Parts: sequence; structure tokens; C-alpha cells
Amino acid sequence: MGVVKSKEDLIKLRESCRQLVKVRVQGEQIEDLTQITVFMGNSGFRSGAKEIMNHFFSKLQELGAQDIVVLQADSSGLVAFEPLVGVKRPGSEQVLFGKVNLEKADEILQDFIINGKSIDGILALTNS
Amino acid sequence: MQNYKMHMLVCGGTGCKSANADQIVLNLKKALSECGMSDDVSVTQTGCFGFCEKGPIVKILPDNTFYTQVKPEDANEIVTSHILYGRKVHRLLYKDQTTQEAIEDSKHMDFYKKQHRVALRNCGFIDPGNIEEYIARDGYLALADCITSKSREEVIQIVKDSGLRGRGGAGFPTGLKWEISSRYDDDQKYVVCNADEGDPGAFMDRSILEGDPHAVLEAMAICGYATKASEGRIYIRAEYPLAIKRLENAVKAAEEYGFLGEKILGTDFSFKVSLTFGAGAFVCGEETALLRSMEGGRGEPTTKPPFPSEHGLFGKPTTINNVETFANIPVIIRQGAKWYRSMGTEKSAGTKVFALAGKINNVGLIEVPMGTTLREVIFDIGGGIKNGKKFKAVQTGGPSGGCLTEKDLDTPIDFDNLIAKGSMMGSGGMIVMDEDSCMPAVAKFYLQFTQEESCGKCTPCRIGTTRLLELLELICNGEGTLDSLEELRRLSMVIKDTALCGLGQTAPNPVLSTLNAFWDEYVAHVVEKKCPAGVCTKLLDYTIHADKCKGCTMCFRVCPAGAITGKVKEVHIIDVSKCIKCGACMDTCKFNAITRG
Ligand SMILES: Cc1cc2nc3c(=O)[nH]c(=O)nc-3n(C[C@H](O)[C@H](O)[C@H](O)COP(=O)(O)O)c2cc1C
Ligand code: SF4
Ligand code: SF4
Ligand code: SF4
Ligand code: FES
Repeated sequence: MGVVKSKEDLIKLRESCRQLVKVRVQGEQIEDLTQITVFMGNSGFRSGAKEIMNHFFSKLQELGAQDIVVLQADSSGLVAFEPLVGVKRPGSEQVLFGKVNLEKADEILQDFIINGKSIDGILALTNS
Repeated sequence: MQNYKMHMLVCGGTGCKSANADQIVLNLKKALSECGMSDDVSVTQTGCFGFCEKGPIVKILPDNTFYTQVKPEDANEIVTSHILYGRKVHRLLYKDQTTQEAIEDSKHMDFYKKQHRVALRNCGFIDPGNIEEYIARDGYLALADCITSKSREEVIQIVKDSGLRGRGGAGFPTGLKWEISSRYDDDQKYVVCNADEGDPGAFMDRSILEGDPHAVLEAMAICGYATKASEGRIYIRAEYPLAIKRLENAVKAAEEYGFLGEKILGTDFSFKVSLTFGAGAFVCGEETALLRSMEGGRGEPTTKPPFPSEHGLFGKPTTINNVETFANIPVIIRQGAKWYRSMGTEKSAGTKVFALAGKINNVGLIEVPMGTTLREVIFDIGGGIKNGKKFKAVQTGGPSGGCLTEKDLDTPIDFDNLIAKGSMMGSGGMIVMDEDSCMPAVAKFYLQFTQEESCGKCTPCRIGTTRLLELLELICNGEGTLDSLEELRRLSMVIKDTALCGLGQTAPNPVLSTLNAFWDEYVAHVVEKKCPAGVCTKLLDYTIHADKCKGCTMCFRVCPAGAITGKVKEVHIIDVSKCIKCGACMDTCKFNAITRG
């Protein structure tokens, strides 16, 4: 890395450096973000939840979305519905989607989260 | 650049490192690589999280999981359970002190809820060894802003308007200090950072330097710009090897990136920083003694005026500030004076870092807005008194401060309130005492420290602290009288008024404040010859209770003074005139037949 020659260079450098701490900043601001929780545990893992989680990660990366975070949690016990995904908007309750495949994952992200449309498949139970 | 999905932060502060945190880092990396997840999850060593008592700390992000007392052998489970399957390692989670419930994320820990981290904003967040992480947190932007688009006067005005007061103890307005320094013209001027931190039990400056060294360097450069100084020196005690290493690396990185050195960011401003190592004498934290020591002379205070702003290092105009004072500067410049003033009280703006120690559950480092009450700090953040004991007093301001009691708990903490209560802010040490602490013994402890650390230059302090200590020893040994108490008070006032520097002037504070708040306890020592807290050994009587004694002869056998007599299966007796109060008999008796009081 060479010498930073101006304030403008520093601001540019900051943009690229931000990637280094992005995940930590998300943690710091977690209440203000939309949280996508993928339920894992051994059963979730076997049902393919890891692929779903990775899919969310790469989609978010593509979109460059800053206000959505992907979290992983232990299996909720609703094994029959796995891969199970929860979505929690700031200040509201988590809603759950069961048997999520890649297509459903896209729908959840694009239509439900980003475009704010109501979509099918919300499970009529809360996770507690 | 790597695109990690999760971050693992391992505390790299002195406390956690001494508990094998480095091995945790290695083991986590190894476990990740064995699971093929090295590209998904990063492991970073940060500065102190403040929760040192429960270290080593490992924090996982973005879910804010806070693992405490982690051992290197836990690394595997953290990775195979939490990282791979989202199953938190329950036994390592922090347990709430009152409910004993495991807390899943740090945002819900009482310890952090009431904290507001400004000076500590990057501690436990960034890798202090990576300047780019500091830059990601807007690092060096305040400096860039000052030198490219603000006049010196504007910079000083912001610091003045912010209401920032020196965090090294005296609470002098920082902006005013800078303004005074800027008025003196000379071919050479200095900025000095006071990182001596001699207050026993205090480690806020060390943590800032270890966790966020660039913040201090950036602030020193800003101060250099505002006061027309081209050279900065950090006076740091040699006992802080990790802070020294991190600072040296930071200086090097800042030079490579062009934030220190010649013509910074293409402007005409040049500034360099170097380190001077102190030998760890308390008096060398006093600014004039510090400057003499830096020049290679004896660390002895000199009379003020002249003040360092006019006549400082090598006789040149010098602005000297404390580490924490500096750490506030870059944020103040970026977020503005008004923002800073929105925290704290009218006369003490902003936040303050405190080191909680003593008989408190959450020993560690915290930062709260000025005006937070002692009760909130001790009971909400600090988790209350250890082992369910009763709160007795809290010593603020270290050996220069005084102790505050139950009736002061709802006092909002700021510079002026603490002074009004007979104590002071000092550098932010807070030592909590419970019902088992003996206050004359506490005063004696502090006087032992100041008496030993007195540089000996002036008589009131050299002889006076020695006399004070003698009196306190007399009292704690049961040889004092009511006259000793009067003498203690009189001598304290004389020393306060006549000592040359702050060390001597404040040394009697622990004596005066305990005399005021715990007069009865002193009287018990000199009149009844009793130590109500059961601490002063010479004042304790050991008694064997006939109803409980089984005549097992154990006490007879351990007594080193031959003070116990008795036959097998008969009640034993202590001869008080022979007893040297060692306590061995009480520790040995299996039947709780011996008591002390
Ligand atoms: C005995 C004694 C010890 C001191 N020790 C320290 C110290 O360790 N660190 C510190 O910053 N200031 C210490 N001070 C205060 C300094 O003299 C000085 O006021 C301070 O460094 C100024 O910086 P500030 O305005 O940012 O607080 C000490 C003062 C006295 C009298
Ligand atoms: S007050 Fe004590 S430490 Fe200060 S100059 Fe006098 S003898 Fe030295
Ligand atoms: S050890 Fe206890 S029980 Fe045994 S003789 Fe001594 S006082 Fe009595
Ligand atoms: S306190 Fe020590 S000296 Fe006194 S009686 Fe017990 S063992 Fe003997
Ligand atoms: S040193 Fe690790 S939490 Fe303080």
C-alpha cells in the first residue's frame, strides 16, 4: 500500500476497507437490520439448509444490500419443515417459511423482503 | 478482498492474552481449516472488551454471541457446533448474575446495556494491528478534515465548544489548553501524550493504546496541527510491553500510509511521533516530572508556573494530554462539538472510562456518559457486590481520591460532584469495598503507596506522608488514641496546603474522606481497641467456645505461640497474653469452635 496523497484518496480507501469490518458493523446495528435466520442443527444441515444459507449470502453480495443480514441458528425442532427460514424486520415479529428451496429463497428475498409483497408459505406458527 | 460470512473476535488485551488467548486464535483457525471453512469465517484479535474478569473473551458476529472464559480446547466445539450447525456452546455463554440465565448475545448483557463507548469505540471491535480496519471506521478522516479544510482556530474552537476536559485527573478544559499552547511561537513545539498511568488498579489508558492505538496518533497529529507543533512524544511506562508494541506498529503503519511524516495528505503539515519509556514511578505521571524524566533528568516535579504550554519539553511550548483525552478528539472533530455535548452533564461533557475493581461482580473496563450515578455503575453495570455482601464504600480517583459511601450512591458522577463529595475523578479507577473492609486499613494501604512513591523533593510530602502512615499504623495496631485522630486530621490539612505537587497535595484525601465518613470506625480502633470489620489482626481476639469444643487438640498442635492449653476431649483455652493472632487455630478447628472478634 502506497502513501495516501489526499483526503479524496483516503475516502476511496475507506470504502474498500469497509468490507473488512462489514460483518461486525452488522452485528453492532443488528436491531436496525432485516434478519434472515436459517435454522441449522444437524437436521437442518441434512435437509440442505447450508446451501440455502449460502444462497442468501451470495444473492445479498450480488445485490450489495447493506441492511439485510443472514444469521444461522440451531434447529428449531420443526424438523418436518426444514430447511426452515425466519425473517424478522426491525421492530416486528419473526415469520417463518418451511421447506425452503432455492426458488423460494429468491422469492423470500426479492418479493417478500426487498419489494415488501406478501407471499405464500408463511407458517402459521411462531418460533418460541 | 475476502468476503467472510462470520467473524470471530478473540480478545487480545493484556488480561486475556495472559490467559492463553493466542492459543485460542491458533486453535480456532485450525478447527476452521479442518472443516473447510477458512474462507467463510475470519478470526481476528482485537483489543480489550472490558470484561476482563471473565476472559478470555470470544465474540462471534454478526450474531453478537459472547463467550466467556474460553479455553484453547474449547475452540473445536465452538467451530463444530456454533459455526457449522448454529448451535451455540451454552456452557460458555455469559450467565446473568441474578437470574443465572445464559445470555445469547452481548446486546442483552447488563454490563453493556448502560455503557456508551466513545473513547473505547474501537476496542474489542477492530484489529489494532491493521490500520485499514481503523480507516474503515473513519480513521484519519478527522485529521484529513482538519488539515485540508479547517483553520487552526476552527479546530481549537470545536474542541473548546465540545466541553472536553482532561481525563488524566485534573479535568482542565482541553480546548483552552490547546489555545494557550497555540499562542506561544517557537521554532520547535511539542505534543506529549501522558501514558504513564500510575494509579494502581487503573488500566483504561493501556486498553485504549492496546485496542485502538491509531486513535491516539491521529489525535496527537490534530493537536500538532492546532498548536503548530511538528513533533509528538508518547511517555509510556515500560511495564506496558503490549501497548508499546502495538503503538510502535501503529506509528510505522501510519508513516507508511502517510498519516504521519512530511507533508501529510499533500498539505504543508508535517508531524512525527516517537515513544519514550518510563520506569513506572507514580510521580512521573505528573506533567512537570514527566517532562523532566523525558529530558533524561530525575522525575521530580517543578513549580508551576511556568506551565508546559509555555515552557515544556526542553523549554519549548508543549501541549500535554492524557491518552483518553486524545482518544476522544477524532470523534469530536467528526461528529461535532454539539454531539459530544449532548452526552454527559453541563460542566462535564461526554463520557468517561472507569476501571471497576475490588469486591464487585463484573470487574473490568466500562465507559458511561458523565452524570451516570455510582449506583448504576456499581449495581447495574458492575453487577453488584461479590458474594451477596453489603456495599460499604467506593474509592474513586485512586490514591489521590477519597471514598464515597451509601449516601453518595445516587450522585451523578462528574468532575465537580466528586470533588464536592471529598473525592475526585482522577483517571477513573473505582475500587469497590464491601462490609468486610476496614476503612482505617484502606487509608493505610493508600498511604503506603503514596509514601513510597513520594519523590522526596519537598518536606511536607516526604516527612508528612511518613508521619501519616505511622499514625495509621498506630491506629490499626490498637495503640492510637483520640489524639492520634486529631493529629491525623491536622497533619492532613497541612500537607494538602503545603506540598509542592499534586501527589502530596492529594495524598491525605483517602485519610480525610475515611475520617469523615467512618469516624466511628476510627474511634472503635482507638477507644475500644476493636476492628469492627475484623481486619486489623492486632485488634482481634480469638476465643474458644466451650459448648462447641470437642477437645480434639488440633488447635493446640498448630498454635505457633504455645498459647493454647487443654487435654484430650476437654475444652481448650487460649491464653490471650501469649496469642500472636495468627488465626491458625481458627483455620484448623473442624468444629467451628473458635471465633474471632
Ligand atoms: C501524582 C500525579 C500523577 C499523575 N499521573 C498521571 C497519569 O498517570 N496519567 C495522566 O494522564 N495524568 C496524570 N497526572 C495528571 C498530569 O499532571 C496532567 O494533568 C495530565 O497529564 C494532563 O492531561 P489532561 O489534561 O488530558 O488530563 C498526574 C498528576 C499527578 C499530580
Ligand atoms: S509533593 Fe511529594 S511527590 Fe510532589 S514534589 Fe513534593 S515530595 Fe515530590
Ligand atoms: S480444634 Fe476446635 S474442637 Fe479441637 S480442641 Fe481446638 S477448639 Fe476444641
Ligand atoms: S491465633 Fe495463633 S497464636 Fe493465637 S491462639 Fe490461635 S494459633 Fe495460637
Ligand atoms: S483483556 Fe480481554 S476483556 Fe479485557
